[in-house]
Amino acid sequence: MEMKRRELLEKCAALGAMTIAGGAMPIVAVARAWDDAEKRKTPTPWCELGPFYKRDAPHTTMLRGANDSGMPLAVAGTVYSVNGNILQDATLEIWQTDNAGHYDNQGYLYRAIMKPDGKGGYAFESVLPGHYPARVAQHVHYLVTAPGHKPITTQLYFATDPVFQGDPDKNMKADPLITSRELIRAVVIKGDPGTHIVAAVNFDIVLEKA
Amino acid sequence: MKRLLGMVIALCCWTFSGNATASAADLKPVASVTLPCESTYQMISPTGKTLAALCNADRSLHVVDIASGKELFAQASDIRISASDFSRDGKWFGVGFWDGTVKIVPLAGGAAQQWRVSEHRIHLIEFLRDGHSVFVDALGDPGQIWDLSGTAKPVATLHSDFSGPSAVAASAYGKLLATGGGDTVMRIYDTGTWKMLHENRNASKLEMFDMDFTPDGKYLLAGGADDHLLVIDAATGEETRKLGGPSGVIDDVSALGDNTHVLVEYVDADDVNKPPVHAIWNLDTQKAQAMPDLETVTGHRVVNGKMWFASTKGTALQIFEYN
Repeated sequence: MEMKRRELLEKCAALGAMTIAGGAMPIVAVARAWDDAEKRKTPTPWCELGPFYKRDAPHTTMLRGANDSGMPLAVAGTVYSVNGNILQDATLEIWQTDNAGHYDNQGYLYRAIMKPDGKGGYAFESVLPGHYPARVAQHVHYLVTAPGHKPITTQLYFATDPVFQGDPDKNMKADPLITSRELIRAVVIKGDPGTHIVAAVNFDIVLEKA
Repeated sequence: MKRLLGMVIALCCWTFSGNATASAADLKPVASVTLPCESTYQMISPTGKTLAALCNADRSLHVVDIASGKELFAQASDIRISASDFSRDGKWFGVGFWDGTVKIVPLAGGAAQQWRVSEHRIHLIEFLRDGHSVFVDALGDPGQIWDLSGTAKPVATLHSDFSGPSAVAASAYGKLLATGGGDTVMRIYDTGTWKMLHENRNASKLEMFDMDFTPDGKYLLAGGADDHLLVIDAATGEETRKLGGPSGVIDDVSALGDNTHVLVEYVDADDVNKPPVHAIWNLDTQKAQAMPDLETVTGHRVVNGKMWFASTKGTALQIFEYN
């Protein structure tokens, strides 16, 4: 049976394996602080907004049309605060190029606004973006806001992008605008090659408190 | 320095194209100078007396006196240069870098100042008309005003909902400063108090890439990703006209001295190798006239109310005035 943090600390204290400075500090408070410290998350790295953000995108989680060309993409993640709590009242704005590397500035293709579910989770379906002519790497733009937290603009990149030549650790700098290796995510191919496959990516977002 | 412009100049030089309705005879040579290097990007100062040239080979930046060809300042590219601007009186030159630092150089001599504004790269520098203040913006950060009297010190931080400004303009008499944000909001400030006078959230749903006031301060002109030239009443912040012309995003807006004509540069965002298209808009008739062909244009600026174009062949640079 898994031991709770409080029980473990009590046992350690009883056996003399641990001394709590100050003596009077209750074990339960120490256990809570320890748990909180372990829940803490690092803020998602910032990446620039880019030139083609468009306000008032549609509220949807399906960005691709039935007949759109390109590798189907499924992105999912959870929105957290740095203290590890989920942020179900966050708002995510997503935009990207189509499979050919074209942004729709006249309309709202491949642009969406969405809210996380009750567990802070979000998910959307799209296609792997093409290579926009003035940028090196394929990317999806994010603007995420939540009450009491700093807004963040960032970009999701794909480890399968040919510009990384199979080694994002080594070749991340191929695109000088990528600010962190953490933003280049693994791609898992799911589905049946005979019928339907999708490139699945997990991308959690962590917001700093305002 | 405009964002898309930066992309374009990194990849190619500029040429005029399109169905010219104005004549090449409208272009009068006004000056020539030998550059210290081959360059496909130059910034002419507002006085027309100096220019900055970005060297193709090593990306170093050189400020040159146009009449004598003398080099007044050189900036090596050990830290990548990301923005630059001349002050209106030509006394100052500002350079922004990828490491978030800004350098202000007095061109008549004296010590330069360099300081860190942000961890992000600088993408906008605009000298104000008071002769001692500069607007600086680092990507993703709110715009900042710095006072250059003595050691540079921050004076004001301008609001953005998120990200920072993508365009900025100071009015000719210096009383107003306008910003267009990554948040797509246009804001006008009083430069005496830095109070926001107007905030327009409806004029554009996309980012603005450049702005300019007409010389009389009556209108604010703005263009960006939605390929329309926005004409804003500077006294109210409200849109008065939205002029749609050639397709492509607007990368540069320059009001000419007659308060009526505006040079607009359109770039194909899907093909940055394609030469940009230039048009002169008449705000009264709301009609645009295509610009004449010119072999290679590598810079432009409104000088004494007239549009000047720089054109280079090797290190030989010639400046033309458009009438």
